[in-house]
Amino acid sequence: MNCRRARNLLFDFFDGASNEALRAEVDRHLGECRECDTFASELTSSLALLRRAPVEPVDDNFNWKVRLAIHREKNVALERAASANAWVRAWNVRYVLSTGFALTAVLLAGGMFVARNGAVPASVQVATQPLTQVNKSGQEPTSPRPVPRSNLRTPVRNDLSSTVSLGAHTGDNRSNVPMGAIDEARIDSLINMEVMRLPEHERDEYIQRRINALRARQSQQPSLQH
Amino acid sequence: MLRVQSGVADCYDVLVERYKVRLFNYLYRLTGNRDEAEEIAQEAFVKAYIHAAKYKTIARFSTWLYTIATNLVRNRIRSRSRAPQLISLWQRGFGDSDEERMLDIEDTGRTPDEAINDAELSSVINRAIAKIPEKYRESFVLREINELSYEEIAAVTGLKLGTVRSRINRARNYFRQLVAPVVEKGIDF
Repeated sequence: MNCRRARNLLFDFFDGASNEALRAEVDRHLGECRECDTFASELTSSLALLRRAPVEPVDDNFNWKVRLAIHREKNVALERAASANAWVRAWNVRYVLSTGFALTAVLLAGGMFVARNGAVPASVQVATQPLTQVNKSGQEPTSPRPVPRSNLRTPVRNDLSSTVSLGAHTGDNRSNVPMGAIDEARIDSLINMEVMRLPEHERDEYIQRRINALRARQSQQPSLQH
Repeated sequence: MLRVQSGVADCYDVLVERYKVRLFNYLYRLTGNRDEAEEIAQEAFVKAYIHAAKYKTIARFSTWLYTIATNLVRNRIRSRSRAPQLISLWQRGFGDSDEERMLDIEDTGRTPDEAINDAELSSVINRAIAKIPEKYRESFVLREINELSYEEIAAVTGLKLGTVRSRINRARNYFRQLVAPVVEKGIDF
């Protein structure tokens, strides 16, 4: 048996381990090893000294002190709980108030917006209107309305009355042009509808003729423009 | 303790009465300071009472109480190590060894010789224990002073059984080395 093993076993014996064979082996080692023998005697005497240590008495008022401390601790806990409850209650009141205030503010802001911009926002109006041609400036369309196919069947070399009656027939009363002025919209219409069917060398002559005829007509029957 | 848990607060006095000496002695040996030991013992009892609902019957009340007390000591040591205490030179004086300091001996009803012997022995033991490294001290005191089993010490300290065993043996070895000179002098306590 080596010293380390013998010393470990000595500790076990102090803890009450009882193995006769091992004890005899350790005793044999102690007889042979002077250092381990010293170690064993020192350990025995020091631990014996420790076990003789006087039991230190406790203060007579210890129990009262504990009771008092418990009482204080309870009070502190109660105060903490009370303050926590108060805080939660205060927080609830604050929460309700702030939520109400925020809702009121939102409603007021919405009401003011509606009052300034009309009942329905402009974007909603645009979305609900029927589809019409709107130019970039947002004004009424200036291009002529689509012409019924039946009118297109009219011979190209028609007189001016057909063109004038075209506007009247379709209810086109947009042309508030002054007397003697050329209604560009109508010219566009002519170009679009009829001129494009003519051979190129006849177009200019035809257009000029129609313009002149239109002017003459406008000067003769101004009431047609209204 | 079950009665305390069920609301019979008066039963706690019985528990305090039963365990106060053992707990106080454990703490006294661990800290080496009577006032501090008493303070921690009180705190441990208060904590045990306040947190009585957390106590489970799988452990003995004493084990639970020692665990609370041990944690309190650890906390104090930790906070002390964060804020080192100043040592007054006037209190100890230059060249004064610990042995030369006066010991307050209280009147315990014993003869003066007995009281002095007990006080000296107690002082020697306290000083030796104070020199044992901190991590071995708890297990050692619980084993040698309070005579707890290894299993109970493991439960109190939160260490493994093997660690407890080795720590106690190391502490015993330290203690032997520290006390051997006193024993060799043949001082009769």
